[in-house]
Amino acid sequence: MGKKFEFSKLFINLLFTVLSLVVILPFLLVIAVSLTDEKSLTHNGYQFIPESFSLDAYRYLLDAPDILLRAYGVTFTVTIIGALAGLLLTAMTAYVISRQDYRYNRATTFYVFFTMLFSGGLVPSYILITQYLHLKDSLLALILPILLSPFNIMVMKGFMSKIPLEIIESAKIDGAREFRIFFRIILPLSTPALATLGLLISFTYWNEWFNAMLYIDDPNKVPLQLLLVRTLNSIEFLTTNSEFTGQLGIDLSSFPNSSARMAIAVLAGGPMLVIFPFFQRFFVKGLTVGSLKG
Amino acid sequence: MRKRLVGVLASVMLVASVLSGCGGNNNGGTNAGTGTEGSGTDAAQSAAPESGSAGELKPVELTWYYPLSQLQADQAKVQEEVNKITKAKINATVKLMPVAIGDYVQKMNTVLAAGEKFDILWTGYMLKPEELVRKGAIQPMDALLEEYAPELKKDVPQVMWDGLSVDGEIYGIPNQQINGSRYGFIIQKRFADKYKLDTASIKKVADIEPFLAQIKQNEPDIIPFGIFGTSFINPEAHDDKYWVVPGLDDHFYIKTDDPTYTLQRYPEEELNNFRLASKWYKDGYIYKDAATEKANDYLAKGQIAVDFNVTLKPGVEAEVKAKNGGNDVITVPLSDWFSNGYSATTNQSISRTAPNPERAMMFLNLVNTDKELYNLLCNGIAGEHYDKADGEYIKAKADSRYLPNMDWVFGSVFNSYLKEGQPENVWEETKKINSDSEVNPVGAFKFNSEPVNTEIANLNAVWGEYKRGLVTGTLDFEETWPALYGKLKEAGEEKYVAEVTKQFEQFLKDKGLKK
Repeated sequence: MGKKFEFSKLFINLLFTVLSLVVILPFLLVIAVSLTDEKSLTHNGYQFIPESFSLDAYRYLLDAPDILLRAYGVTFTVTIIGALAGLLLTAMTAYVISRQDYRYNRATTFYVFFTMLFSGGLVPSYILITQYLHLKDSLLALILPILLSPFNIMVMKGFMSKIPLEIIESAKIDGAREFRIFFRIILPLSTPALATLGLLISFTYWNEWFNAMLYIDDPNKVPLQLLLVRTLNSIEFLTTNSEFTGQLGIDLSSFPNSSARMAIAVLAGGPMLVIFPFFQRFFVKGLTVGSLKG
Repeated sequence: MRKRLVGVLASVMLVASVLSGCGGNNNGGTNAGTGTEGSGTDAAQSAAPESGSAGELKPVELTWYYPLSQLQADQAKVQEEVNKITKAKINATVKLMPVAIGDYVQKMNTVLAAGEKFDILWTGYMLKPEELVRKGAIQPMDALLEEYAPELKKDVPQVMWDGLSVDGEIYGIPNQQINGSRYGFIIQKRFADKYKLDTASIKKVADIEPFLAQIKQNEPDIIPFGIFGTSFINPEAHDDKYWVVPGLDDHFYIKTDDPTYTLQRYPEEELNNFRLASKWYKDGYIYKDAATEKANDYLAKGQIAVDFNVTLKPGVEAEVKAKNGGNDVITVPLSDWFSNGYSATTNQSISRTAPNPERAMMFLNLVNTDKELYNLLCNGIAGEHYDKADGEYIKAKADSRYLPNMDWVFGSVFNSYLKEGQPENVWEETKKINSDSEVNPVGAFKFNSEPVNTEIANLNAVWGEYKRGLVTGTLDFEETWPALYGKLKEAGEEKYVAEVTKQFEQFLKDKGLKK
């Protein structure tokens, strides 16, 4: 009995060791490549332990730090404002539709849910942002489009509807009005959900580049991820369309080399890696979407 | 409950219809770009350009979208300088809107679909003017060309205008550069010298074989022949016997001496190329994993001794050297210059939504005729981004903050300053090639693929399965071909050939090539 138990434990440990390796190794490789000398990259390919160590890639990036720093600034601003505003609005919306005594809660839920299934699509959104809201080249164009996600609202609603209505009623009896109930009772009770969603939302903002590609032309307002995606997309395009580039003669040697690309990836992903563990303890209390009320 | 829901739904719909109603009203005036129905009014607009333009010009701002492989740090500075010139000459300022080349298609399709107001956009290889015309996104420019850019109109060879015409109207200004093909070998000089290669003796593809054998024997780390599955060595595109029929799947030919222009499908000479590849693969001249590897990985290390190239243009040696691990190369052309017409590789077009099409045309004329303006766009500011060397030569500064390195995106490269390694007469030579190259007699044939779209997709799928294997010789041709041909037949080969033949006959009749 005891032996069998050990065996299954071993199996589980092995499984998760393998899983973590699958996740960790590629990232280690990225870091390793970013620290490898370009010449040895061309000759030996990617290696975990660089044959010749070099900080050239980072030197290249930090040589003209203004672009990078500005991009960091934009990304941080957008992430912080977006995450705070997004979290607050998500919680408010979710709270309203989670209240059983709100008359239109089903209709409102459906209204929110509906946007998960159908959306205006790319072109109408573009027209709305550029021609009606006039948000081109404005940081708002990066914040507004993903401010509220119906999925997050649903997750939040699922959590909040587990808060007993009696608490709210007793607060009312004590003379609290809706805002006080929300801010003093509901929000503190929802900390695990807020932490989790806060993390999700900040990830979304941190990784967002598509809206920036569409709406931002001013080089001073480009977020970090767009810098990265642009470089990668362009290299991808040029190497896959050799028929075109061959005819016109684009000099690929002027591009950031592989180690520089990896260095950008490290710089772009790094801060989130540091932030992640702080949120981790909140994940213990899992969240559920659409579970039945017990 | 249900009643309530219906009520809410109704009000939601009401709100939605009100909103869309507003949108419709506002759009009517501006957004004619997305549908062909807008063409009538826009044609009228462009047919009656601003009269009395020779006198005073109102100041306007033009917007110009174009792709760049890397966005430039000093873009704003250069734009300022550009505007100094344009302000003085045509009283206009230009807003330069470079887009990263990998995002260009997606971004422009969105901008165009949204009917955004802007004047000029780059069109070409990945954003074909012809497709944009079908979407109604760009406007014809014949009248504008005549009126505002007569020199430019004359300067560009007719074959390029033909390539940019859709239904008889011109939709783009070509950024003139090399237009033609000449295939041959690019050989690393160190090996050619070492084995005393007599380049004059190489007249056709097979003649290189003894040299490949020498490399194979004596240079164990070197790949004798650099074919990697993406390119197809096809001298029949044009040799003394055949012309390929362009715009199809590259397996239709006509014979050069055939006055009846009979279509040839898979002629024996073409198939011989695959046989040669099989042979070379077996002999070890082609890399053993060529079908799955990428050429660039080996090219960059200077591991490829002989490469095949279809555009051996003047100055190509300098260009290849940079990609080739810095090794010097020599070229051995196997054909004369030939051309299938102009395939609209790189051009400027004027948007349907352009608020100032006349001024846009004046500006484009200026870009293509004013050397100072053009080189400012290509190379930045003299002294700040590059240094002048002797004569027409320039040298970019080491840490230049403006070095797009894409002269062909802005305008005619014939106006550009010369870079290190380019021969002094490179543009005269290129112009000569453009005007002298032999033109494919059926180059203007345009196939309407619609009736056989399914068959084409199926045929492509079959070819996709075999092509890399066949062109690298990894698959033995004699063994593979019967099975492949059988699959092609199943995929609709015959129907496709019949449709092509039908349209081709019609084309010959229309062009008067055949009675």
